[in-house]
Amino acid sequence: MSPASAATVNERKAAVLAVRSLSVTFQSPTGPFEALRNVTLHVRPGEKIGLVGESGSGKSTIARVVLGLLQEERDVAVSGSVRLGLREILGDQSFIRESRGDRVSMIFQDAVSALNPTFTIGDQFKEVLRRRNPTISTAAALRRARVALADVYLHEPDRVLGSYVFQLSGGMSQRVMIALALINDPDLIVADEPGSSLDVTVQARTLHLMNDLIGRRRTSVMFISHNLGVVREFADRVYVIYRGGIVEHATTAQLFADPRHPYTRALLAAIPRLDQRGIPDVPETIPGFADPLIEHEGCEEPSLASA
Amino acid sequence: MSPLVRTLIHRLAASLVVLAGVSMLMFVVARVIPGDPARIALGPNATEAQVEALRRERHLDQPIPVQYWEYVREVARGNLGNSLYSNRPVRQDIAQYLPATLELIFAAAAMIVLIGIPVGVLSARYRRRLGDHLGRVGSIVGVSTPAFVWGVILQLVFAYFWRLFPIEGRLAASLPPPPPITGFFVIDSVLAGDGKTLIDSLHHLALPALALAMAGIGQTARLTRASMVETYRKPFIEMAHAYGFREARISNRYAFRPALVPVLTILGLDIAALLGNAFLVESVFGWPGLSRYGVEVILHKDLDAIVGTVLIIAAAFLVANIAVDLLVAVVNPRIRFAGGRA
Repeated sequence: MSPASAATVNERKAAVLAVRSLSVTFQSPTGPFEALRNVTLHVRPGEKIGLVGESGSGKSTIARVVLGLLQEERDVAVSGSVRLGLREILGDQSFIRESRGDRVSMIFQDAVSALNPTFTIGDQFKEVLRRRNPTISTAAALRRARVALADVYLHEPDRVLGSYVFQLSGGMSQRVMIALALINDPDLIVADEPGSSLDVTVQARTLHLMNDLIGRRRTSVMFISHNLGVVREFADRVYVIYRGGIVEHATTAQLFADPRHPYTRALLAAIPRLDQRGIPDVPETIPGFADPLIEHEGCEEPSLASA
Repeated sequence: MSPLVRTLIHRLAASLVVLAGVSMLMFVVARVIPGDPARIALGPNATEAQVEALRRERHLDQPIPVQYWEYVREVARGNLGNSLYSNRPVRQDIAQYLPATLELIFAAAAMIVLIGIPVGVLSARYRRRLGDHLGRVGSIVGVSTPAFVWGVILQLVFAYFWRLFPIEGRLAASLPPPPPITGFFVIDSVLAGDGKTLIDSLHHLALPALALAMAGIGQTARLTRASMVETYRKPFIEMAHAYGFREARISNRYAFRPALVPVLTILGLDIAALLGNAFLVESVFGWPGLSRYGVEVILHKDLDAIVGTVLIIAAAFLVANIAVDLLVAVVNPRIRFAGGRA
């Protein structure tokens, strides 16, 4: 067997994303701030994982490290290991720079502000398609974009392609965003609170649509959300993150049937329910929130050797 | 009719109203300031009868509204009246001096755009690095030094000490001016196919245009930098990074276009304001332009010439503003679709 094909076999078995002992410290004028502490997580091919925590817990920091964006900033210390497929991306930006928008893409929380207001949607599709195929013609790019828009049920693709983002509704923009994220057929999509700026019914439709498309292509997804309901519906496995550290790791079924970490229990208790009055209280902090990671059975990353 | 065309017509109509207002104001102001224009024009040796005759000839003995009516009739025929002083048609004077000033202003405007904007873009792209700091200090120095001081400094350094550029004038005395078609020496010498005159006129143009442009270059660089830095914080730039768009492409295209909108608006005002600064620069460099002419006619209380000069400058200001608004609409689709009212 040639080394090249051996690599492909391993690539197929390996996790799409493997993060080990990731720590991130920001240097600020008021002193260092530890945004992530010893975070370990993995995403297998075709798997959808959820990353749940409050705002400020470090969810988005993980996303920015995975895309290699944080490493390009000053005054940030990143340590540990982040592998995309078999390639380590910490310490060497070249691979992740090539991969962004191609092997890895991202769905943003608010598509309306994530799309450039001064270029047409068609221009932005062309720009993203050029990431994979730098010589693609305008006609070919628009052809691909039309198909992608039909996939997200936008029925007048030509009108959408000729539009600017402010001419589309929030729901349409989010669909455009999804089509953009999928158009280069990435191995991994990072979805940062997708659609949370939309109203609830539009968000639900958009998320179902995204889930369908991703499921059909067996794309791996890292879902970032503060919304346990969304995670419960779409994730296979969940990491709960609290103040920069993972506190509980379980399959979705395990987590909701048997939440073990005090912080997870507090989060679950905080979901507003129609049969109760008002909004439940989440304590700012209790000693138990700092308990060490609880990992449920069968969730460990399979080692390459045994796979 | 497209919203853009409708906006354009609307703006042109509004400009006419502004011009009418400016002409009235200048007409009255020129006449109410102390001093008898007829007496000043004829000098202290003229007899009272001669002065009276000139007053009657020019309707200066009539009430101001009647005089204004006469003036409007004159303007409607395409004239701007005659100089009290030289008795030459004002139109002819302006036609002679305006191109020199416009040539200076266009050259300065080109420098502002071609130097100021790239400096700002690069400064923002490499922000907080050495080049950015140098660019920012340079911009401050450019903005805070008046144009006539720049004129003297450039003259001293490049024309006097190093003798790289001529000290004054539009053209070397040994060269005849190119055949007047546009009045712009640079363009006329191209039209005449005269390379030597072209090079010499550019050579003469360089220092005064740069002196005039310095403040605008600094201002534009600072503004472009600020606008770019602001744009870099927008989610759509984070998206561009997350999708791996090349840094140069983000800087020159993806962030540049949205960042350009506020810059253009100020740029239009800056370029129009060059008309005012041009006077000092024209004086320093002995540039035979309209600004110098304007000051001369004010000192002589040359009524029609004052109003005519101010009208032309106001018209140039309005045209510059409309041009900028159209450019902004081209760059910013949100304004384009709202018909200039977003």
